Amino acid sequence: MRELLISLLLITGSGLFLLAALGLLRLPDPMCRSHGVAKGTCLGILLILLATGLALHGNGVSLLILATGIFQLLTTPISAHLIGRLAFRKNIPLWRTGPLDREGGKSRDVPRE
Amino acid sequence: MIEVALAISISLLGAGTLISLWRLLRGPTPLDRLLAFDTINGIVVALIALLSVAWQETYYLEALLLFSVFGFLSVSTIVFYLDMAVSDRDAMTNPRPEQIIDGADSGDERYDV
Repeated sequence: MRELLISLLLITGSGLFLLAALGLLRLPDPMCRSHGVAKGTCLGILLILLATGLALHGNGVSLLILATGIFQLLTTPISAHLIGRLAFRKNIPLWRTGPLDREGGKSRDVPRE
Repeated sequence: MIEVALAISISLLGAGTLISLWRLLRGPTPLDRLLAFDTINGIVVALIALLSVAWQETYYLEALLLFSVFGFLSVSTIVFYLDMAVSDRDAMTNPRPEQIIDGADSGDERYDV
Protein backbone atom coordinates (compact mmCIF):
# COMPACT_ATOMS: atom_id res chain seq x y z
CA MET A 1 0.00 0.00 0.00
CA ARG A 2 2.78 2.34 0.97
CA GLU A 3 4.76 1.35 -2.10
CA LEU A 4 1.73 1.98 -4.30
CA LEU A 5 1.32 5.44 -2.81
CA ILE A 6 5.02 6.24 -3.26
CA SER A 7 4.96 5.03 -6.88
CA LEU A 8 1.87 7.07 -7.69
CA LEU A 9 3.37 10.20 -6.16
CA LEU A 10 6.67 9.76 -8.02
CA ILE A 11 5.04 9.21 -11.40
CA THR A 12 2.60 12.09 -10.92
CA GLY A 13 5.36 14.48 -9.90
CA SER A 14 7.54 13.50 -12.86
CA GLY A 15 4.55 13.89 -15.17
CA LEU A 16 4.06 17.40 -13.82
CA PHE A 17 7.70 18.17 -14.60
CA LEU A 18 7.19 16.85 -18.12
CA LEU A 19 4.10 19.05 -18.43
CA ALA A 20 6.16 22.05 -17.32
CA ALA A 21 8.75 21.30 -19.98
CA LEU A 22 6.03 20.87 -22.61
CA GLY A 23 4.56 24.22 -21.62
CA LEU A 24 8.03 25.70 -21.97
CA LEU A 25 8.24 24.24 -25.45
CA ARG A 26 4.76 24.97 -26.75
CA LEU A 27 3.54 28.22 -25.18
CA PRO A 28 4.10 31.28 -27.36
CA ASP A 29 5.56 33.97 -25.15
CA PRO A 30 7.82 34.35 -22.04
CA MET A 31 4.96 35.30 -19.73
CA CYS A 32 2.89 32.26 -20.75
CA ARG A 33 5.98 30.10 -20.41
CA SER A 34 6.73 31.38 -16.91
CA HIS A 35 3.13 30.58 -15.95
CA GLY A 36 3.44 26.99 -17.12
CA VAL A 37 6.89 26.46 -15.64
CA ALA A 38 6.00 27.88 -12.22
CA LYS A 39 2.90 25.73 -11.71
CA GLY A 40 4.39 22.51 -13.03
CA THR A 41 7.70 22.81 -11.21
CA CYS A 42 6.21 23.82 -7.86
CA LEU A 43 3.61 21.04 -7.73
CA GLY A 44 5.95 18.42 -9.16
CA ILE A 45 8.73 19.10 -6.67
CA LEU A 46 6.25 19.01 -3.80
CA LEU A 47 4.87 15.61 -4.86
CA ILE A 48 8.34 14.13 -5.35
CA LEU A 49 9.50 15.45 -1.96
CA LEU A 50 6.39 13.94 -0.34
CA ALA A 51 7.22 10.59 -1.92
CA THR A 52 10.82 10.89 -0.70
CA GLY A 53 9.64 11.61 2.81
CA LEU A 54 7.39 8.56 2.71
CA ALA A 55 10.14 6.32 1.34
CA LEU A 56 13.01 7.37 3.58
CA HIS A 57 12.38 7.70 7.25
CA GLY A 58 15.32 8.41 9.49
CA ASN A 59 16.91 10.99 11.70
CA GLY A 60 16.37 14.49 10.45
CA VAL A 61 15.24 13.43 7.00
CA SER A 62 11.74 14.78 7.41
CA LEU A 63 13.08 18.11 8.60
CA LEU A 64 15.32 18.51 5.55
CA ILE A 65 12.52 17.51 3.21
CA LEU A 66 10.12 19.89 4.93
CA ALA A 67 12.65 22.72 4.68
CA THR A 68 13.25 22.04 1.00
CA GLY A 69 9.51 21.85 0.29
CA ILE A 70 8.78 25.12 2.08
CA PHE A 71 11.69 26.79 0.31
CA GLN A 72 10.54 25.60 -3.11
CA LEU A 73 6.96 26.61 -2.34
CA LEU A 74 8.19 30.10 -1.45
CA THR A 75 10.75 30.69 -4.16
CA THR A 76 9.30 29.17 -7.33
CA PRO A 77 6.46 31.75 -7.62
CA ILE A 78 8.91 34.50 -6.71
CA SER A 79 11.31 33.63 -9.52
CA ALA A 80 8.44 33.30 -12.01
CA HIS A 81 7.16 36.69 -10.87
CA LEU A 82 10.62 38.23 -11.29
CA ILE A 83 10.87 36.89 -14.84
CA GLY A 84 7.38 38.13 -15.74
CA ARG A 85 8.15 41.53 -14.22
CA LEU A 86 11.34 41.74 -16.26
CA ALA A 87 9.39 40.83 -19.41
CA PHE A 88 6.94 43.63 -18.57
CA ARG A 89 9.63 46.20 -17.88
CA LYS A 90 11.65 45.44 -20.99
CA ASN A 91 8.69 45.39 -23.38
CA ILE A 92 9.18 41.87 -24.58
CA PRO A 93 6.91 41.34 -27.62
CA LEU A 94 3.81 39.49 -26.56
CA TRP A 95 1.79 36.89 -28.35
CA ARG A 96 -1.39 38.70 -29.33
CA THR A 97 -0.88 42.38 -28.87
CA GLY A 98 2.73 43.41 -29.19
CA PRO A 99 4.53 45.22 -26.39
CA LEU A 100 2.53 46.25 -23.37
CA ASP A 101 1.62 49.83 -22.70
CA ARG A 102 3.45 51.05 -19.65
CA GLU A 103 0.61 53.25 -18.43
CA GLY A 104 -1.77 51.02 -16.56
CA GLY A 105 -0.62 47.86 -18.24
CA LYS A 106 -3.38 47.86 -20.84
CA SER A 107 -2.52 46.35 -24.17
CA ARG A 108 -2.31 48.42 -27.25
CA ASP A 109 -4.62 47.78 -30.15
CA VAL A 110 -2.22 46.18 -32.55
CA PRO A 111 -3.70 43.62 -34.93
CA ARG A 112 -2.03 40.27 -34.79
CA GLU A 113 0.14 39.56 -37.81
CA MET B 1 7.22 -1.86 -7.78
CA ILE B 2 9.11 1.18 -6.64
CA GLU B 3 11.85 0.24 -9.10
CA VAL B 4 9.42 0.37 -12.02
CA ALA B 5 8.03 3.68 -10.78
CA LEU B 6 11.57 5.05 -10.45
CA ALA B 7 12.43 3.97 -14.00
CA ILE B 8 9.28 5.62 -15.38
CA SER B 9 9.90 8.79 -13.38
CA ILE B 10 13.53 9.09 -14.46
CA SER B 11 12.47 8.59 -18.09
CA LEU B 12 9.85 11.34 -17.78
CA LEU B 13 12.35 13.69 -16.17
CA GLY B 14 14.91 12.93 -18.88
CA ALA B 15 12.36 13.77 -21.57
CA GLY B 16 11.58 17.01 -19.74
CA THR B 17 15.30 17.83 -19.60
CA LEU B 18 15.68 17.29 -23.34
CA ILE B 19 12.70 19.51 -24.12
CA SER B 20 14.02 22.22 -21.79
CA LEU B 21 17.44 21.97 -23.44
CA TRP B 22 15.77 22.56 -26.79
CA ARG B 23 14.19 25.72 -25.40
CA LEU B 24 17.55 26.69 -23.87
CA LEU B 25 19.12 26.38 -27.31
CA ARG B 26 16.39 28.00 -29.37
CA GLY B 27 14.84 30.55 -26.99
CA PRO B 28 14.46 33.87 -28.75
CA THR B 29 14.98 35.99 -25.64
CA PRO B 30 17.23 35.51 -22.58
CA LEU B 31 14.07 35.15 -20.49
CA ASP B 32 13.22 31.90 -22.27
CA ARG B 33 16.70 30.61 -21.58
CA LEU B 34 16.35 31.65 -17.97
CA LEU B 35 13.06 29.80 -17.67
CA ALA B 36 14.64 26.72 -19.23
CA PHE B 37 17.46 26.95 -16.68
CA ASP B 38 14.90 27.19 -13.88
CA THR B 39 13.08 24.11 -15.15
CA ILE B 40 16.30 22.11 -15.47
CA ASN B 41 17.30 23.13 -11.96
CA GLY B 42 13.97 21.86 -10.62
CA ILE B 43 14.48 18.63 -12.56
CA VAL B 44 17.93 18.23 -11.00
CA VAL B 45 16.45 18.65 -7.51
CA ALA B 46 13.80 16.05 -8.35
CA LEU B 47 16.45 13.68 -9.69
CA ILE B 48 18.47 13.97 -6.48
CA ALA B 49 15.32 13.06 -4.53
CA LEU B 50 14.65 10.13 -6.88
CA LEU B 51 18.21 8.81 -6.58
CA SER B 52 18.13 9.05 -2.82
CA VAL B 53 14.92 7.00 -2.90
CA ALA B 54 16.53 4.49 -5.27
CA TRP B 55 19.69 4.03 -3.23
CA GLN B 56 18.02 4.38 0.18
CA GLU B 57 20.57 6.99 1.15
CA THR B 58 19.96 10.13 3.15
CA TYR B 59 23.24 11.91 2.54
CA TYR B 60 22.04 13.56 -0.64
CA LEU B 61 19.10 15.40 0.87
CA GLU B 62 21.35 18.26 1.93
CA ALA B 63 22.45 18.57 -1.70
CA LEU B 64 18.72 18.87 -2.45
CA LEU B 65 18.42 21.91 -0.19
CA LEU B 66 21.63 23.40 -1.56
CA PHE B 67 20.55 23.01 -5.18
CA SER B 68 17.19 24.65 -4.55
CA VAL B 69 18.81 27.60 -2.73
CA PHE B 70 21.47 28.15 -5.37
CA GLY B 71 18.96 27.81 -8.20
CA PHE B 72 16.80 30.56 -6.76
CA LEU B 73 19.83 32.75 -6.11
CA SER B 74 21.07 32.26 -9.69
CA VAL B 75 17.71 33.11 -11.22
CA SER B 76 17.22 36.24 -9.12
CA THR B 77 20.80 37.38 -9.74
CA ILE B 78 20.47 36.99 -13.50
CA VAL B 79 17.11 38.77 -13.43
CA PHE B 80 18.51 41.75 -11.54
CA TYR B 81 21.57 41.84 -13.79
CA LEU B 82 19.40 41.88 -16.93
CA ASP B 83 17.18 44.50 -15.34
CA MET B 84 20.15 46.79 -14.87
CA ALA B 85 22.16 45.98 -17.95
CA VAL B 86 19.81 45.77 -20.90
CA SER B 87 18.33 48.97 -22.20
CA ASP B 88 14.69 49.26 -23.16
CA ARG B 89 15.49 49.92 -26.77
CA ASP B 90 17.21 46.60 -27.18
CA ALA B 91 14.16 44.86 -25.76
CA MET B 92 16.38 41.78 -25.53
CA THR B 93 15.17 40.44 -28.84
CA ASN B 94 14.75 41.30 -32.48
CA PRO B 95 11.05 42.04 -32.79
CA ARG B 96 9.36 41.40 -36.06
CA PRO B 97 8.82 44.58 -38.07
CA GLU B 98 5.08 44.71 -37.53
CA GLN B 99 5.63 44.61 -33.80
CA ILE B 100 7.77 47.74 -33.70
CA ILE B 101 5.59 50.58 -32.54
CA ASP B 102 6.50 54.22 -32.71
CA GLY B 103 6.95 55.70 -29.29
CA ALA B 104 6.83 52.31 -27.64
CA ASP B 105 9.76 53.09 -25.38
CA SER B 106 8.96 53.96 -21.85
CA GLY B 107 10.32 57.45 -21.53
CA ASP B 108 12.30 56.05 -18.67
CA GLU B 109 15.80 57.24 -19.38
CA ARG B 110 17.54 55.42 -16.59
CA TYR B 111 18.21 52.26 -18.51
CA ASP B 112 19.27 53.76 -21.79
CA VAL B 113 22.87 52.96 -22.54
